[in-house]
This record gives sequence, C-alpha cells and structure tokens, in this order.
Amino acid sequence: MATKKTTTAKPATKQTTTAKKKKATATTDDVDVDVVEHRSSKRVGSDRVVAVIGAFGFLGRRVLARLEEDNEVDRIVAVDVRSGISSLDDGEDDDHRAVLLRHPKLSAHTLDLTTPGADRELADILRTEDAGALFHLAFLSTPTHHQEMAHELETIGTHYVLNAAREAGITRLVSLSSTMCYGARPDNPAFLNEDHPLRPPPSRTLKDKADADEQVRRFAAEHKDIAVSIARLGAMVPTAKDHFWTRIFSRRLVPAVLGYDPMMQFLHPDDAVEALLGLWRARARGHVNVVGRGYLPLSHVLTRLERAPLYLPAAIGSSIIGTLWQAQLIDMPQHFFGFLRWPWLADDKRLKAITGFSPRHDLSTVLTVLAASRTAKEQP
Amino acid sequence: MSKHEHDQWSGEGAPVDDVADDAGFDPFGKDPAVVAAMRPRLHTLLDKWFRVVVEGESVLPPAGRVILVANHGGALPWDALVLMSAVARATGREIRPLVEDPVIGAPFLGTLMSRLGSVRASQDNATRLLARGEACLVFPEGLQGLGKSWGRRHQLQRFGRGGFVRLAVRTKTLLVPVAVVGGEETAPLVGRFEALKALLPDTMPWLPITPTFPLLGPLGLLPLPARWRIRFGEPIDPRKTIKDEGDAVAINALAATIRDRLQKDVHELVEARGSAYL
Repeated sequence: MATKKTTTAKPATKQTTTAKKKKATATTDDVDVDVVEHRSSKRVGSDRVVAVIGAFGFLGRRVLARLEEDNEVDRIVAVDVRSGISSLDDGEDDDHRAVLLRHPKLSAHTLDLTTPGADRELADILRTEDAGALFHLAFLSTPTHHQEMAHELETIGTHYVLNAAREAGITRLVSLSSTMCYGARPDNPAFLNEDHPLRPPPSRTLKDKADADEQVRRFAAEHKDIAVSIARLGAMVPTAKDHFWTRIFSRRLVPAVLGYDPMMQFLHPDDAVEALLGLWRARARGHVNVVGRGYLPLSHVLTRLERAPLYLPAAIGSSIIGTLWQAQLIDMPQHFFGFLRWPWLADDKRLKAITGFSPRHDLSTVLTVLAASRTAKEQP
Repeated sequence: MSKHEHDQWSGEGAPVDDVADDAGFDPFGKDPAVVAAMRPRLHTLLDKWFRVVVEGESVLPPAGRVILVANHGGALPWDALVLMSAVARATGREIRPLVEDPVIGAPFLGTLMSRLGSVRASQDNATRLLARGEACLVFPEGLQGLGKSWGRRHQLQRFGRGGFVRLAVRTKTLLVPVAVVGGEETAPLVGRFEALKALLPDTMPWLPITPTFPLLGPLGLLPLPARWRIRFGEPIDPRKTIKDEGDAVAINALAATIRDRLQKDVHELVEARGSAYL
C-alpha cells in the first residue's frame, strides 16, 4: 500500500514508457521488491484526490456527496458519460450555481467508456487531476435489451478503467459487482461467502458483471501495490425507479415460482454507499459482500409491500418470463427467474471485519421505506 | 452420557444475525410461526395415527450442538418430520433435519420442510447450524435410503463417504445414533417413475410410486397409519477414535460402527413392534 503523497505529475508520454518498462521487468515471484520499485519509480496519485467513474449515477451521486463532506479529500474527480453539473441537479435546485456550491471540490469530466481509446483518455484525466483513489461505479443497474452496449460498458469498460488505473498511479480502487453473480442455485449454501465460486445463470447481463468481477480480481492479483476491493452488492431498494429490484416491486403483480419461496435480503442505498466509502477508507482488498440486514421469504416481502405474487409453475415459468422479456412486456429476463426460486443469501461478515461497518437499515425498515416511496409516487 | 466441551470449537463459519427480523425467520428459512401452528397437528398425528414410541431420549444433551444420526426410509421423508416433532415433544429441542437436494428442492414440500426447520444437507450449512449450537439430524444413507423399495425395507444402505463423521470431528461434536422404524410402512415405495423426467422438477431424480400415489392423486400422498418406533443410542465422541478429519480410514470405520448399531436397533425395534399397522 503506497500512502505517500507524490504530487508532481510527469508528462504523459514519459509516464507511459516507464510503466511499460516496469511491466516488462517485473517478476511475479518477487512481489516485495516489485512493490518497492513501484513506489520509488512509479508516479503515484495523491491520496487526497478521489476519482469516481459513473459519478452521476444513482450510487455515484451519493458517493460524491459523502466525499464532499470528507476532510481527507481535497478534490473529487467525477467522470461520467452524462455531461456535467446538470446531472447532479436532482430537481430541488433550479439554479446550477446552488448545485456547484454544494460541490466545491468537484471537477467533472465527460467520458464514454464504450468508445475505443477510453482507457488513454481516462488515464490522462486521472493523471492530470493527480487522482490516487478510484471508485469504479460505471455499471448498469438493470438488465437491458441493448446487450452489445451493456457488454461494451461492463466488460470492455472495466478493462479500460483498469488500464487507466495502472497507468495513472492509482493506489486505491473500489469496484462494483453484484451478489447475483453467484447465481441462485438449488445447491447454494444458506449463506454465500466471498470464496464461493461465481456461477451466474446463462444471462448475458450477469455474465458481463461476473466477467468484470473476475477482471478486477486478476488485476488485484497482478498489482499488489494497489489496494483493490470489489463490493458485491446485494439486491438494492429503494433506488431510482428504473433499477431492477425497485422496478420489479413497483408492479402490482410480481412474478413468483409456484411452490418455492426463497429467502431474500435487501440493501438500503445509504448502507451501500457507506460500505463503499468504508472499503475505500480501510484500503480494503479482495471481494466483499455488501448486503442488507435480515432476511425474509419472498412471499412475506410481497405481503409487506402489498404486492400480489403472480405464481408461475417452475417447469415453464422461465420460458414464459423469457418470452415476455423478448416481447418487452416484462422487466425481468428469463434467467433472473432462478432468483425467485433458489437461495442466494450472502454473508457480509467480511465487510464488518474489514471496515467495522455493518448495514444500519434492517429489512423491515427497507421495506417500509420502499412501500412509502412507492405510495408517494402513486398518489399524485 | 459423556460430558462434552462446547467451548473448544470456535465456530468457524459462525452465524450472521440469528434472528434479524421481527418475523423471527432464521436464515435457513425456518419460520417460528409455522412451527408453532403445525406443532399441535403433528403431535396429534404422532399420537393417533403413528402411535410413536420413543425410548432413550434422555441421552440427548438438553442444549448445545449435537449430531443425530438416523436411518432413512420411505418414499417421502416422513422420518424427518416424525423425528422432528417426536424429539421436540420428548426433550423440548427443535432439531434441524439435513435433507437431500430433491426433498428441499421439491416444490411445496421443500418450502414446507424448510419452514419447519429442515436444511439442505451440506457441510457448509451443517457447520453454521452447529456453530449456532443447534441439534442437526443427518441421514447418512441419503437418497439411497429414500429410494429403497419395499422389499429392502429396514435394510440400511451404504453410509456414503462418512461426511457426517468428518463434520463431527471438525466441529468437535457428539454423535447420537437414532434408530427409526415406520418410515417405509408409512409411504411404501413400490416403484420409481423415471421416465418423462422432463415433467418433474429439475432436482427430482424420480417420482415415487406408492400403493396410493399417484393412483389416488394428491390424496395418495397421505401417510399410511404405520406404527413408529424411535430409539436413541448412547452418544459417541468421534475424537476418541479419530485424530483429525484427514483420518479417512478411521472415519469410515466409525461410520460403519454406527451403521451396524443402527441396523441392530432397527431389527430389534421391528421385532418388538409386532404388526406394522395394527
């Protein structure tokens, strides 16, 4: 872990060559020497400058706000495909200046991770801004019919982000993943811990996420001098209305599997943000499950949300869902059906051990908040 | 009964939140409300229908982790249900049967079983349960036990790879053999329907055929009025004969010893019971 602050940014081209040379001479069996060399020769970004990729997304905006309050942070570098300050305007302020005033540390950059060369562009941004820490939050929050775009963003985009992080001397990286990547399976243990293999269903959405998760893991193994953590978030509600679980539960009828009733966990977004910041502060390494407190069977969740289950027989339910998804009549792709049938609870002991943080909102609270947010929307 | 040191095992894979919701569910899906609602009905079933007789239940430690080892039989896992409620009534302990994938994965049945306290059999789940100080019930015969036909009733099948002994050694837990008679007569397996597997839930290896099922439709799943006998054996401390969980030969030897004891008890119970139904 490199903690020292090196402020002078060398010119871009020179940096690139040093990094390349470094890579060629680096030996994997002598990690300690490697780390020392990195520290002495490689330019390292400032610990007090934090970059957030996907900064204007649902989680990103909340992370930005928390970083603004943090005394350890001098500057925040926001990178997003959505341009500028207007994305931060949540409708409460008509005046952009008010938004700017709330974000005095912010400098925003527009970048599309799906364009070739995004890694170079991002590296330039990070280097110019002298960023030392990086949140990689540029992931889709819901399955999409635009599978090519999703693939470009999540797997190739992650590849670019990792390239840029290496080039720009990032020393702390927090990346996103999902506990859905474990897959819901009949032979899952009651609690999945981080050592459990990722066995996502044959859904492209989840395969892309699992691939990104694996890329970051490999990156971490190859770059021991960078503290890399991967937060596997559980189902999160209530979120923006287009997010997967929030959207599923916003319907009056929720698909369910006849004769099955798996235990579910739900994570409050505030807890997700706190966990991400905790991982960043602790310079955590490795995979960490981030899930909500408590569990209930799906049927009880639906009762509390006053939602009616639409029971489908297991044998044909997934085909029905698949057909409806293809016809764009339902928000759930075929292979997400398993998450309503088999267990996929995750264990967040590791998060507590590393960061000392455990989610504050229990399941009852989360469901109450979700129900309330929905009623508020339905009434007007 | 030998004293057992419960504090020697740190409980790796220890519990997350025991009960984190006001509904009181545990992470394995057990619902105290369902347990409470079903208890009087199950007790009536045990008394009036199955006429269960339990002997030797005082060997079961009143608290703390323990592994019950039972023989397995019948087309449906009635033995898990009967043992669960018989032990609860005799000793006040709510035991957690570890059941096979096809049982816990079956529609309705699996959900009901987990609401009542059953858990999918796996080392990971069992370790967590024991770390919580629960009493686990294992059926080392597994599916072989459920899949044996009427002609082979009361004959114990092979005891797998001794996973339950390994579990006991690793978690420093006592093993209590429990012989059960009545499962085969309650749901006699006369055939296994393996054709048209595509119609079965993907976790079920076969559809059981009993004298009444599927002949009478869902009604055929109702239990026959067999008489049940349950006998607890002396607890066994696996660490007396086994050094560590790598000691595969000693592990299999202990598994075989327990199997022999259970087989002997089963024969005695069958003999003592007399007629299975009257």
